[in-house]
Amino acid sequence: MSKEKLSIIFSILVFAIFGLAALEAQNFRELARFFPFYIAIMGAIVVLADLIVQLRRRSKSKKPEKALHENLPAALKYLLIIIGYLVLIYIFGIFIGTAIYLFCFLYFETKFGLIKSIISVAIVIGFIMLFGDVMNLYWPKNLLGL
Amino acid sequence: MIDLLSGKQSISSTQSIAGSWLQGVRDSLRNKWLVFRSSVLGTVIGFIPGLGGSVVDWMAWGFAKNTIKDNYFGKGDIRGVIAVESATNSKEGGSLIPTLMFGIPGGGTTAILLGGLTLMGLQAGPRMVTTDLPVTMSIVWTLVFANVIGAVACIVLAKHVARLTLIPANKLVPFLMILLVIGAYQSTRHWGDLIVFVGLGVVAWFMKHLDWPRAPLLIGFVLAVPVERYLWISISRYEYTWLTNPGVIIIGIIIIAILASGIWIERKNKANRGDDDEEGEPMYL
Repeated sequence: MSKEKLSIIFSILVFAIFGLAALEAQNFRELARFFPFYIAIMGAIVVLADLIVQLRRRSKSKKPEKALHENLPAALKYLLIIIGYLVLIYIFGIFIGTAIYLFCFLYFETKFGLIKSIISVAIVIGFIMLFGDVMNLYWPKNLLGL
Repeated sequence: MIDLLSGKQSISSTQSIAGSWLQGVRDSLRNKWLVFRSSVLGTVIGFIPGLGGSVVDWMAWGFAKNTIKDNYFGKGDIRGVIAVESATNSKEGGSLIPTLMFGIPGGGTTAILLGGLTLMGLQAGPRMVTTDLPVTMSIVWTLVFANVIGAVACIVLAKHVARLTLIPANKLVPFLMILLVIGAYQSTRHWGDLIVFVGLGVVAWFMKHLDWPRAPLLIGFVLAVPVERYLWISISRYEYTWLTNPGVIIIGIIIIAILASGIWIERKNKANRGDDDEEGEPMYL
């Protein structure tokens, strides 16, 4: 899908969010309603104006439409890796999740050798443990309770 | 980070570090008025409790972008860095005012300072500029010396730190991601932080590629809660008469002037370029 089409879809989505927020705010008490209701109405008006400008520009423009990203499959792959990292933390906890994510990334993506990847993971996990201990950090709870 | 990885590149588009620290000093002196007004802006924002740290850099960047002619911010214009750094460094001074005078910390650093004062048996308030003035002056001078020492340390380390920008993304980003995830979780120590971290990141990525400015979203995200709170207090206390308060009118005029100057400068820049194409970067922020 072209960048121009996606931009219009994105604007419609933002308009819908503002519209829903305005509808939702109407159920609030008078003073609590003031800020979300009027901000949502103003936001919706601005986005609507932007949408009209985009549609007018699109109908006038004779330039070929651009792609959203020069390498969209690669970008989506890295986005999935980031989401996968969070899933690993959710299941195994920060230490094991980070170790799996970092090892896989370094070994398969960065093309580090096996020994180099293992050493890197060991250093990072050691650093996180030390850092967490010194700074008294909290770690996310995980499904396995590890 | 996604773009760096998918483009198989490093943060720096060039593969060598050029320039010298002397060049940085020269650039700052050449833009002394920008340093001055960004510092004033940083001090004023630092003065407002709960506002400073999160938005001062974006606000300074947006303000400079809207008021500097022929800028190319976001594409290597050093004035963008000078404006942001001036404001960031001056905000700590501004945040000392509500901390010492009213006992309201402007940010995390000043909250720790306030705790330290309490431990020493000192109480924030008007006494800090009368009987406890020496303590206040020592805090002020400590801040001055800390900035000088920080500047010297930066000058010494700058070249080494800059080398980080030459590391290929697939070697830097996996480590960076771990730090970001740990940092994001510490704000409220809730899983929601991590979901917001990724969710907002995805939205910002789309905004970047669809030419939507991201700074207003960030500022709105940070300011929404205090703005709603103070608006609620103003309306419940004064109804609509707060709009006639001289302070509110002056702030309103300043906001309109900044917006108008942004539009005027953008039009002038377009006219200078002879650019009649409607497409282009958004002019605000």
